[in-house]
Amino acid sequence: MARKTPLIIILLGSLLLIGLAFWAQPVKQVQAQCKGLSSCKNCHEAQAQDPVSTKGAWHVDHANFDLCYACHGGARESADKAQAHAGMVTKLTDMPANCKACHADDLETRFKKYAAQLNVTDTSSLQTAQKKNNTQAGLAAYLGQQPASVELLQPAKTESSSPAAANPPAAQTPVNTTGNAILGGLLILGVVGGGGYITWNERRLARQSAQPRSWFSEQIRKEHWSPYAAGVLLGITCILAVLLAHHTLGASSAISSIGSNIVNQAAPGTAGQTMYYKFLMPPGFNWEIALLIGVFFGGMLGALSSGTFKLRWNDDPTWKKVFGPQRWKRFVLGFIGAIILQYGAGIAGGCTSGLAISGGMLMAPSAFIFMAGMFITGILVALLVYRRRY
Amino acid sequence: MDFTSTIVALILGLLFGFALNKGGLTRYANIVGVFRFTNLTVIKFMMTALAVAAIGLYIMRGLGVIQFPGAPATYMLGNLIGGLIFGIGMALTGY
Repeated sequence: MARKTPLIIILLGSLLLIGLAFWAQPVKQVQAQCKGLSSCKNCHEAQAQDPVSTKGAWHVDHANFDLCYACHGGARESADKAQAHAGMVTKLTDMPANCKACHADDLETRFKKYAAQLNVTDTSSLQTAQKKNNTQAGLAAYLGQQPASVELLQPAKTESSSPAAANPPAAQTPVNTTGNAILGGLLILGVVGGGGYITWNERRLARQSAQPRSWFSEQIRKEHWSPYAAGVLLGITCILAVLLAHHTLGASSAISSIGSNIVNQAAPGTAGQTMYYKFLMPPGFNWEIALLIGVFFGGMLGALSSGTFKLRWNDDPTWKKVFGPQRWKRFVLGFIGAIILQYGAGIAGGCTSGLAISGGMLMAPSAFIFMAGMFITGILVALLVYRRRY
Repeated sequence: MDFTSTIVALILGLLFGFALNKGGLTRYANIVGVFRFTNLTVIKFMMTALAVAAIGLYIMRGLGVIQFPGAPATYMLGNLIGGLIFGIGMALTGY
């Protein structure tokens, strides 16, 4: 019984922290985690080519988001200036409609705040906007007006005046089928290839050959590298990512993107319309998901090369010593812990790879704050879990 | 997502996963060890990667070869609370 107490404390503690996160306002402004910025924010702000985040209260208030395109349109994935600006609305003429896309519930207060600053006295457009019931209709109508709105959004083509607009569009435009096909193909490849390999490997192990090997292949076959050597390899990978793809490495946003795909398939009308799943973590097959698939196979490759590839459920001696040999314990605790982990990554804006390493290498303050937080609770939890065996 | 960038991402992911596996970051004992100060693999690995990447990137930017991608946004409270929650999960699961 006594062994369960620390676990209960940890779980309650994490619930408390999550509650604290909800209470703390700035935490709401969660950036796309482990993810590169849109080209809008990258050129305008990160490279400071034409910063707008300090111009006008509306920009200041939204600067923590990467949401330029939600109001202004344009192609936020294009790095080419002309292409990115195609179909962009530079000056927002229909302010109520723009605010309404995200803030349907308190439209009036939001509108009045900026209207005073902009000297807009005509509130007739506000009333018409309010008459148009329903968030989705307003958003769809607004986005529908733009000739080249972002491909990822796939706005439902409904007319703002038609009665159908009052109901959320039942069927969303299908999400990137090519991506799904690639993903499916890779999954099948993984299962078939993995299974094939296991059979082959078992046979190979049965007739172990003992030939002399070169230094290079000797190193590749080593199970443990010096962490410094592996670190150098990861550092080079990070540099290559910036050089070849203008991206930083990260893992947790891919999980959120996969979640967003599921949510947008399962509940396109309700949960799919929330700001998080529509704008911050839009569905689709993106760079991070491709990277994560690569990580999976890369890890597999590492295990294969050292000949330690094996299906494992719970064979870590340290874990067994602390929690016992039961398989289900590893599963349940792993699952709950992973939820906590992913939730924290969502709030912080990244995980150990996407924030700590990728942010740290760019000397972003967030990375170091995150690492400090991670170690504070990490050490405490380890203390609680291990206690006398510390 | 065009075909080339998918392939590039996949290859980078392969290297990433390979480095993690060889560095021992896929093992529970190594991850938890860093929080117990019994095994500092994670720190050695992460900080080496960070230093190599930072030096390389800053040199390359200085030479004008690359431009930095957008760095993760800093919002003190969010980063800290996120980190605190993340630490719990990390020490608990060892992933």
